[in-house]
Amino acid sequence: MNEDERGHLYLLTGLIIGVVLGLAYAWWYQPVKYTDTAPASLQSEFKDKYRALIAVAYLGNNDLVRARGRLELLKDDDVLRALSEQAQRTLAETGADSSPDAAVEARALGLLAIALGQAQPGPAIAVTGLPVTPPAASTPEPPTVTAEGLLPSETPAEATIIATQILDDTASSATPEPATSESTSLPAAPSGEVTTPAFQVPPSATLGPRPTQTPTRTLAFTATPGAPFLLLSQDKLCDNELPAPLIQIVALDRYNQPMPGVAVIVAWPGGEERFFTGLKPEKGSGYADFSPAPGVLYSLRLGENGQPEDNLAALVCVRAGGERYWGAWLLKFVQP
Amino acid sequence: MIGRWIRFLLAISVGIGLGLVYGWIISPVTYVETTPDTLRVDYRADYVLMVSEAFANEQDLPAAVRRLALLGADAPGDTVAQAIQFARQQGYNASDVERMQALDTALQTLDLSQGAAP
Repeated sequence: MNEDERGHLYLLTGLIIGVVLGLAYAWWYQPVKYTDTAPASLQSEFKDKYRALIAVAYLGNNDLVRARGRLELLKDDDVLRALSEQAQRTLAETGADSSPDAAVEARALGLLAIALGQAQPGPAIAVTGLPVTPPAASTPEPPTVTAEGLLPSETPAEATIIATQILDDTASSATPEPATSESTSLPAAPSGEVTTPAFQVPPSATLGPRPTQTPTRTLAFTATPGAPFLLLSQDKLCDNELPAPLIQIVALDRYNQPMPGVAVIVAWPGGEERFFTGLKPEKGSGYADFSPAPGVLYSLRLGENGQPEDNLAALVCVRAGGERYWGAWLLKFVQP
Repeated sequence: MIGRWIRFLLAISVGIGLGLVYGWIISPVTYVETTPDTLRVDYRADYVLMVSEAFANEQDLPAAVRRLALLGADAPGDTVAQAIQFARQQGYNASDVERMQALDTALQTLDLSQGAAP
């Protein structure tokens, strides 16, 4: 190797050493720190807490428009599914070792999911003013870092029971139309920031008339805690051939009105699952169902202190010619 | 010889610059999973408003304190006070500001009771 070739090599070596030093400084010693972030960039654990707070706040203000606007900030792929699954997870976690807010949050999440599922698609939410500039970074020489492409991908947990499927908005004939929110002009950007409109809390909307099928109770806030649900009737349904066996549950109040948001607890040897009524609004606001595995005996109750119904199994119907097919059990419970 | 060293150091400097550009701008450490204490001021204010709305319904002050604690190490009263100030500047609804003030008042009561002499 002659003198000239060695001369070029030392420059390359210096360049490589410099790059390594620069990367070490930028990635380990003084990495970019994000400030002024948006809810969509939160860790999934904190997104859950944020979502739960939106639901609990909804119980406080009964403002579905505002709740929907806030949920959109989280940029969930499927808002209803995320709410429903989190409601189930939280409900499953309630117990002596859970956080003191778990029971309240589970109920709030479930009720918000039901309310969103029942409401018609609302007007375009005036969640204007979302930042168009990336979050600021607090490094000595803050580079402009774009948040695009950096958001974590959401992978919702799979629901294991049919009752947890959340359908797209399908309004019933009695579903009220939320009043159109007044558009609000954007406020001036906070002083000190550069052309970044502030997030404007969606204005309160006045809801329309309540659904007529529930004349004596509101959707969310007048449950009668403490009274255990009792089995009213248990019927076999063999009218329609089903692809899989089904156990259908209907929760009713003392006035024979369907009750959404009631926890259904299903147990079997080695397992337990919890879900809510009302997550299939097209079948009734007090309805829930699940598909039992053939050969397994289940115990089912509504609420923690509901009367348990044991030895529930997949229903097999038989036609006149001896052909067997799957049927459904219909269990109606009432809270006296 | 000295010239070679200068050019060598120059190459290192260029390399450091390239490394910084790549590490800070092109491919920075992706803290995409942020925490609530890094939320922008307007989102923080809305978060406080949500806590206030929940408190108005539940009247559960410990729960409100737990929720506010996620916004950082500041005292809950300070966090709420900052949010109220921002809300007034941004022209929030009077009812929203009232809810936040009610929470602030309740937190002050909590501070007084915790600070009271036995």
